[in-house]
Amino acid sequence: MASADTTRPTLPVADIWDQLASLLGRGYVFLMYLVLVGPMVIILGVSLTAGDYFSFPPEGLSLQYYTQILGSARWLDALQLSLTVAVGASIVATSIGASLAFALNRYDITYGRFAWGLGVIPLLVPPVIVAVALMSFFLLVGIWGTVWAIILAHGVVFSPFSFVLVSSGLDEIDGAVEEVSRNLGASKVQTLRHVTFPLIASNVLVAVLFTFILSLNEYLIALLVGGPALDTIPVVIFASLRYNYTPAIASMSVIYMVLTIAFVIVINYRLDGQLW
Amino acid sequence: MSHPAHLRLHGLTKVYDGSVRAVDDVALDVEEGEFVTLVGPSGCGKSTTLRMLAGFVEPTDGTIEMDFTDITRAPPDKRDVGMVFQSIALFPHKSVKENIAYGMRVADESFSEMEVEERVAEMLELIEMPGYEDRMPEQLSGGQAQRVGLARALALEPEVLLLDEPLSALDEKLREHMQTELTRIQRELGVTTIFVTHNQEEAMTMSDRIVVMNDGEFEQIGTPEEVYSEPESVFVGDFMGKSNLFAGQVTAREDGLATVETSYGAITATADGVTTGTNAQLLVRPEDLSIAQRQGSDPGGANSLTGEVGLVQLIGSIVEYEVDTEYGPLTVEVQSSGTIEFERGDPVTVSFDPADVRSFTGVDDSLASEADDGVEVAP
Amino acid sequence: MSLTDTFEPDSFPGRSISGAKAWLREHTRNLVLGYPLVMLTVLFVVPTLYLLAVSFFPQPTGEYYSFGFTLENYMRFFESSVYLDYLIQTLEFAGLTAVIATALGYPIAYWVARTESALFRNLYLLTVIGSLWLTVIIRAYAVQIVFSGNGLFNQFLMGLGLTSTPVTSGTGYLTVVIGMIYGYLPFAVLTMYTSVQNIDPELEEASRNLGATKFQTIRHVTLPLSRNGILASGALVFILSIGSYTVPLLLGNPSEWTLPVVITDVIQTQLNIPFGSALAAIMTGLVIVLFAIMVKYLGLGSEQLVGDTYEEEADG
Repeated sequence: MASADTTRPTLPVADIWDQLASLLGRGYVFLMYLVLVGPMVIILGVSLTAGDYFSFPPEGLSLQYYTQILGSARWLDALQLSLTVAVGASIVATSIGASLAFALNRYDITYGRFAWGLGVIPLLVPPVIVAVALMSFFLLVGIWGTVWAIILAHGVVFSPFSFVLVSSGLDEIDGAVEEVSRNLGASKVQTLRHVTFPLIASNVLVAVLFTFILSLNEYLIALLVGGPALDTIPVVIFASLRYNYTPAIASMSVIYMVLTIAFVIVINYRLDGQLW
Repeated sequence: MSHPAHLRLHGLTKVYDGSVRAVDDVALDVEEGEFVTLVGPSGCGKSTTLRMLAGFVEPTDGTIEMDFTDITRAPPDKRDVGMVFQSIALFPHKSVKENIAYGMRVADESFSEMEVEERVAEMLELIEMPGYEDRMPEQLSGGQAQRVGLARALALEPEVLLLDEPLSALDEKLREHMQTELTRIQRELGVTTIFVTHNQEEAMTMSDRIVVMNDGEFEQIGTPEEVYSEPESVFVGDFMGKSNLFAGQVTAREDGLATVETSYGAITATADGVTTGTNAQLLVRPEDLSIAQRQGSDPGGANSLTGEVGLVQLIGSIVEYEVDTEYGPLTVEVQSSGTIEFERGDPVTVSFDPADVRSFTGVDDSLASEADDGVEVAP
Repeated sequence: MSLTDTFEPDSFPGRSISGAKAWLREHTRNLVLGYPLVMLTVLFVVPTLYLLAVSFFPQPTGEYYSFGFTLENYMRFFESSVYLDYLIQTLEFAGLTAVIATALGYPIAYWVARTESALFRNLYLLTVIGSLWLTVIIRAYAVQIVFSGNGLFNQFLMGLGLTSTPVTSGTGYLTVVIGMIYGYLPFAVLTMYTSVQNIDPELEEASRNLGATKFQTIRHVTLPLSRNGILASGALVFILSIGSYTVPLLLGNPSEWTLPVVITDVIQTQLNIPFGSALAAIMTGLVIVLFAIMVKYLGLGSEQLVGDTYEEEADG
C-alpha cells in the first residue's frame, strides 16, 4: 500500500484539490441560490419605491403602488378573472388527470399505452401550438373569448400533472390494504372513500396546487384564447411592461407571490406537512 | 504484504442533536491481526462506531489511533482501512474486475495494467471465484456479490478490515458458509478485523474477542468463552446466550453460599460479591440445569424445582425442554444422543448447582418484573 | 388489481338497487375512462387536427379565416429563408439552453441531494420550485434589469476592471440565452436531483473507502450513474425551450425572436391565422421528430421527462 510504506503525516488530511473543490462548490451553489431568489427580492424592492420609475434599489419606500393597484378596476378585474380561471382549471385538470389515472390503474385496457401517452402529451407540446390550435377551434365552435374557454384550455393543458401525480400515488398503494377493507365488509365505494382516497389525498392536493399556480401565471394561452376582452393578470402585466414601466407591475407581482405562498402554506397545513 | 495495524479507540463518543449519545465514551485496544466483533441489539451504536473508524461519521469526542497515529479527523480516503458494507454496494456500472481494481485506479500511486490484472486475479483466487473478471454485479448472486465486495476491500491490502453486518441479508446455509470463508481469509491474510453483527452466534463462532455493546456503551470485552461463561452484567449474560433469569433479595449468607428469595422460591448461589439485604439478579444457563424424572413429590436439595414438561424442541443435537413449574417456566437444554427422554406432560425435577448461578447486584427493577414471568430470552 | 372484477354483491337475492344506481354501477368503468378520454380528445386532439386543417385555409380577408384548401401558407414558409432562419435560431437557443442549464444545474442537484438534513433539503427544493412560481414575465424582466447596459452585471464587471464597455445589454442574443437558462434551470435541477438521490450513498462511501477523493468519486461513480438523469434533464429543457415565448420576446430584438414569437406575431399583428397555423404545424412536426429521436437514441421514456420530476414533488 503506497501510503503505508512512504512516510505518513501525523494527521492525514484531505487532498488540497478536494478542499478547494469543496469550497468552490459551496460558493457556487450559494451564488446560484442567490440568483434564483434574487428577482423576488428585486421585485419586492421595486414595488416599494416612492419614486416614479422602475428602479432597483428603490428610491425611498412607499406603498403607493399597492394602493394604486387596489384602487384600479383594471387590475382588480384581472385578479378576479385570474383567480376564477385558476380555480376552474384546477378542478377540470384534476378531474381529468385523476380519472384517467384511476382508469389506467384499475382497469385492464387494451390501448393502455396510447391512453397513457394522451394523458401526458399536453404538457410536452409547446404552449404556442396549443394556444393557436385552441384559438381556431374555439372560434369554430363559438366559445372563443369566454371565461370557459380559458378554463377548459388550462384544464386540459395542465391535466398531465394530476395524471402523473395520482398515478404514482395509486401505484404506491399496497393492493392488500384494499383487499383487507373488502374482507372486513366494506363495499367498493366504501373502500374507495375510506381507504383509497385518503391515501392519495396528498397527491391530489399537490396536483391542485400546481395547476392553480401554473394557471395563475400562464400568459400565452390566456391571451390567444381569451381574446381582447378578457385580461388575466399576466396579460395585464405584459401589456404594462410594453407600454409603461410602472412599478405597479412589481406590486402586483408581489401580491401574486404572497397569494401563491399563502396557498402553499394552507395546503401544507392541511396535509400536516406531508407536502414534501 | 503490508502489516496489519494495531487499533486503539479512546474515549470515543458520538452525540446527535445535542442529547442522543449514540456512542458513549468507549475504549478498545485491538491487537495486530485480531478478529474482534462488536455485537449488540439494533440501535446500540455498533454501526456508528464502525463508521467512525471508517471516517464517515465525525466523532464528537475521543480519538482513534492506528499504529499510534491519530486518524480521528482523517478523511475516509486517507485511512488505510477496507470496508465491506451491509448493502455490499458494488459499483453497478463496473465489472467485477473494475470493482476490485477501483482502489488501484484512484490511488495516488499508479499501477501498471499488468499489476492490476495480477492483483485482481489474486483476489479472485482468494475468494474462490476465478474467471469472474468480466461479470457485471447484476449477474452475481447474493453470496458472490458479497465475496466480490470483500475482495474489493482487500485488494489494497488494508491494515484494518471493517465489516458492517455483511452476512445479514444471506440465508442460513449461505451465511454459515460465508462465516467459514471469512474466517479462513482473515486467518490467511492476518489483517486486523472489526466485525459488526447483531447475531451473537455469529460473534461467538468467528471472533478472537467480542465486544458486547448496549445503548452506546461497551458492556463487556472478552473472549467468547469469557463473555459467555463469565458475563459481567445481566444484559451480557442474557444477550449472549439463552438464560433463565431470577430476581429477588439476598436473605442469608453462610459458608460461601448465599440464599436469594426469588419468585421461584429460595435459590442458592455462590456468595461472591453479594451482600445480605440487597437485591440481586440471578442467571442460570439452560445447559447447566439438569432434568430428571420426578421421584416422589418432594424436591431434594438446594436449587431443585418440580414441574411438568411443556414444549419440547430438538435443535440440532440439543434437546430443549420448557418445564412448567409452580412458579413459572424454566428452559433446560440437554445434549441428545438421538432419543428424547421426556415428553410433554411428564413430571420432572429440575435442579442446578449453586456454582453455576451467576449473580448480579444493583441492577434496575425492570428486569425484576421480567423474572417474575420466568423470562428465558433467546437472543 | 381490479376492484371492478370482483364478485358482484348486487346479485345477492333479496337485494335490489334503484335504476339509476344500477346503471351507474354497470357503467362505472366507461364513465371513469370515458370522461378524461373525451375531454382530452375534444379539447386537445381535435383542436390539433383542426390546426392542421386550418393551415390549409387561404389567407383571410376581413374575417378570421374562411374555409378552403391551399398550399400557399406552406409555400410562404419556404419562399424566403426568413422563417427557416427563425426555426434554426429556435433550435440554437434550445440547444444552448439545454446544455448550459444542465451543466450549471448538476452541481446544485448534487449538492441538494447530498445534503444530510432533510429540513434543509426540503428548503432548497422549495426555493428551486418556488422560483418557478414567479411569472416567467417577471423573471425575464428581472434578467433585463440586471443585465442591462448599466445594470448590476456590467457594473460588477467594469468595477473589477475586466471590461471597459458593457458586455450585455437589456435586449440581445446573450441576454436571451441567459434569460432562457435562468428560466429553465429549476427544471434541470429537479430532474437531476431525483437521479442523484436514487444513487445509493453507500456506493460513494465505498469509493471513498477505497481511496478515492470526493472529486474522484464524483468522476468515477456519481456522474456515470447520473447519466440517465443528465440526459433526461437535457432533453426536457430542450423540448421546453423550443416553446419559449416570453423570454425571446422581452429580452430579444426582433432578430432574436424564436418561432413561437413569430407565430404569435403573425396571428395577433397580421391577423393571419392560417399562416400562423401552418407555422405551428411545422413546429409541431419538428417537435415530434425530435421527440422520436430522443426516445430512440437516448433511451428515454417520457416517464423520465415528466414522471420522475413531478413524482419527486409528490413524494417529498
